[in-house]
Amino acid sequence: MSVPNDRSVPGEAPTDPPSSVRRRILDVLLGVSFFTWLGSVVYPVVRYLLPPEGPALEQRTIRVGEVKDFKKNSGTLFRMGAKPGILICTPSGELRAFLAVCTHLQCTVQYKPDEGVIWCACHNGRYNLQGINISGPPPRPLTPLQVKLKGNEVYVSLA
Amino acid sequence: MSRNDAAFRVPLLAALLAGWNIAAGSQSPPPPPAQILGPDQCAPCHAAQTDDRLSSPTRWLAYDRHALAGLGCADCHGGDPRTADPQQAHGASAGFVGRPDPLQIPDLCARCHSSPQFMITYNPSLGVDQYEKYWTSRHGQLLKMGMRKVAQCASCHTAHNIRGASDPSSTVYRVNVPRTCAHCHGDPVYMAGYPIPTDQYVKYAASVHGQALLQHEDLAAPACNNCHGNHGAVPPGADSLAHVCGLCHAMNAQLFEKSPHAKPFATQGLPQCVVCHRHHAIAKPTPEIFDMGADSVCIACHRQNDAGWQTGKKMYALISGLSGLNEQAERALDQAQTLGMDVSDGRFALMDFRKSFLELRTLSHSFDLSVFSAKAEEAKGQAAQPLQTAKDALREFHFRRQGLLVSLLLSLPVLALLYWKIRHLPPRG
Amino acid sequence: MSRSPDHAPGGLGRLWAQRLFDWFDRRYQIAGLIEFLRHKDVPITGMSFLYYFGGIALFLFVVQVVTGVLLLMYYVPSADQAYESVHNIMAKIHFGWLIRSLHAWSANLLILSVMIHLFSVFFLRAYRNPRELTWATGFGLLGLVFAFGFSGYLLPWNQRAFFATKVGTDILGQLPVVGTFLLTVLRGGEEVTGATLGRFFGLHVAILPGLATLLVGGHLLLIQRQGMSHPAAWLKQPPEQRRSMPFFPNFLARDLLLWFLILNAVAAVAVFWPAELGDKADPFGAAPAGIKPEWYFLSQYQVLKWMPARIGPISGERVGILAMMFAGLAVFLLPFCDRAVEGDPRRRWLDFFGVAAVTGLILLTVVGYVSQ
Repeated sequence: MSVPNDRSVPGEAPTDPPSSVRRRILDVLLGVSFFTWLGSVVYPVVRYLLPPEGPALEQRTIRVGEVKDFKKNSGTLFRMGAKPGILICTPSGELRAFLAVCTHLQCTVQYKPDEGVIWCACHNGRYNLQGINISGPPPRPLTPLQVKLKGNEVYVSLA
Repeated sequence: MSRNDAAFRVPLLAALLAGWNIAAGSQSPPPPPAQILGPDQCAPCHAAQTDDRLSSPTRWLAYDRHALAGLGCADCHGGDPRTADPQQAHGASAGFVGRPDPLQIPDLCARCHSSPQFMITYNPSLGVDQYEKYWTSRHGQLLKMGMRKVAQCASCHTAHNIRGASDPSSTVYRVNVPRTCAHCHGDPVYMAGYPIPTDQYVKYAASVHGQALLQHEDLAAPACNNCHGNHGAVPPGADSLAHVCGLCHAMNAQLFEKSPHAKPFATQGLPQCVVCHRHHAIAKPTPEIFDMGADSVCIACHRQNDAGWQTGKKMYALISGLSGLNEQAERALDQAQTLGMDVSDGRFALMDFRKSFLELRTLSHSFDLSVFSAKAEEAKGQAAQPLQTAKDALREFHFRRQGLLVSLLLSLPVLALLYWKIRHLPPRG
Repeated sequence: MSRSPDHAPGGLGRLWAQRLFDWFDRRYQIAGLIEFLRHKDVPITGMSFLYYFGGIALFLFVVQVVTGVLLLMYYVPSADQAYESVHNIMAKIHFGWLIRSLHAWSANLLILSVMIHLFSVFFLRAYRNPRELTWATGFGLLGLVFAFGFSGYLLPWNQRAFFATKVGTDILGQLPVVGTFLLTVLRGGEEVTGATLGRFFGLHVAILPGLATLLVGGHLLLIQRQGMSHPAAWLKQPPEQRRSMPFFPNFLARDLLLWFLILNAVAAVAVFWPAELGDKADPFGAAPAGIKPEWYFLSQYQVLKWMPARIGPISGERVGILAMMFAGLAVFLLPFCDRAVEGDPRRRWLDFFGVAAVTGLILLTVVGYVSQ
């Protein structure tokens, strides 16, 4: 601790006018420099309080949309954390979701409505609508996600 | 083996008898054996033999498909399994065959395996055309010529440890197939006298397919038989190659079929895919495949500055410009991450680039510059975001330090003045 | 004499400050309060630097409150989203990393300064009659900062936190009679789950801060009311040789300088070593290798590790916990056992206990840190 101790020798107080003026100036300087420094505290706090743009929170459960947004025999890509997900509405109107990451070389897969399969454009890998690899190079099925309905809203979460 | 086998064998016998009368295909196999099967005395005696050649077959009894299904030693080897007396059991009058001649083995197996009526009672989904196919294979043709040094059923399936192809311990499990083939085809001494190379296994093991199957046990990767066939094994012909490769590399094959190369390749009898990619030693192609350099395959036909030559050069420029970008972005993101910054957004964006880049590689088989360069443009745009994320993260990293420095500098006068004030406070009120 | 601002000539700012002061002074008699603080004396001895730790702890407590309130703006206390929200704070929110790192580092420093403060008071014998209640409230505050540390550690819902909480609450469950009750209440069930997170969150941001505010208030009130304790050696000096300084403004100015330095130091540490987050808690995953409690629980952890499986009829762990509780009780009851009053001889043999406790704590912590 390098805090100075007062040498409390009585009668040392310098009270002559020039030093009192100097003290006042230094007091003002102290105030000014303190408030300047305070800026470097207030600035981060104000920036912190302003929320950033874009999706606020990486979530385990994502609202993908409303039921009416998904037509029969269609697929919709959405962001599931750091990976893309795909929500399939089967020809019979059932909703299923998977991570849209091909198990072969991690390309993003898509829905092929004419064939009714999930298809990877990179190497023609195919998955059936249960996400099971049926042809082409994919070695494993797609990772399934959970689809939950809350009223009209469709939520998808990591299983 | 347990005594229950006796009960099990009655339907087997019935099935065998039923299958007998049916002649299969053009090359009708010999009929199934018509033996009275009783309690088996072979195994207990053979297990006790000190000669490994005699005792080893009993070691697999608990695993062998045939043993498990109730097929006894005598069903293939002949002899009388009911007696424990060696003389009687192995006597010629008991029909003892001993070790079957390799030339006889296909017929021996086909007694059951070529009978649809018989096989359906054991494995309805198993084909019964192996025997027929075998005679079309190079192996079968040579065997028919009386050569014993060729593969027959037992060479690949073993004699006593026969397991299903999905059993990882099986010699015909996909991951084990290359080793099984290389047992003969990789042995230069054994293969001496045959005019074919013996380095296929070494080349294959180092190839993209070999690495995927042998190292990563990726069962989607092809083994020898996926291109050559198994029972009807022959080298695929030039005209059927694109079909074989196209089974998995469908997009590439389709694009190639529509490309300007399809016709000249066909007229010159060039074996499509393997002209550029080779066959056993298929490596991951680099952009240099298009650079028209001394090692490039293209210059075998293309002359300097002809249209194809120029297209190749342009494709090379586009794809080589991009191929470094993935690594560059990866490095930049890694660097930012090791500095403690979060770059998950950049990694997410990089996935799009990777997808487009893979698509670009596939599109190269179209040799269509307009399609190719459009995709290359798209990929280039997608690489920008991860790079930007990394750059932002680095800037943020330095900004934090600079911010700290500014704050510390701003605090210096406060500290100094406060210190001065403390020194000059009146010690007592 | 009082350097009251009434004879301060000059600046408009001063004039306004004067008016504001007068406005309050007329209503709340602040001048008297300042006068009171000015008369509060801080004795000057060779050990005076020890007096700063209480102030440091108070300042860090304020830092915790401010950064904690800021973190609350973005934190989501649910097993589903706690980790994600902290990740969000660290990665997306401007200066979120700074706020959280400040909160984490200042928490560690707070616990350290509270511990140093406690030992200072012990070695200076400042707990003696008539300051028993100051000691008791201070002891309560020590318990509270530990509880803050324990409950706050779980909130990011990462792997380390999850397993640390599992082990920590297990130990509480070993307490005789109330163990199972305490365990169930704290965990909100039999296992550490999202319910535990909710409870720890409530504890960390509502119950503990409320209690802490009460205790800090009481603690400060008692100190201001009774003034600083004077060491026996200082009192033995003839009055004209006793050196001291007024609490206001002299001592407070030094406090401010230190606080300022510490804030800068914590900010620098936060920039260079931001608080880590690690992987999200996986209740079904294996405990990460080499998992240990935070440094301030390492000594207790090490004692429990050294306990034999059984001592007589009860488990060694339970004996260890009971022993530590008795040690705590002894510390709490210290001013009631040491019946001496302020100014009495120091009783040097008491220092033996203090030195033993400090050395023991440091050794146990080091061993706990180093051992596998």
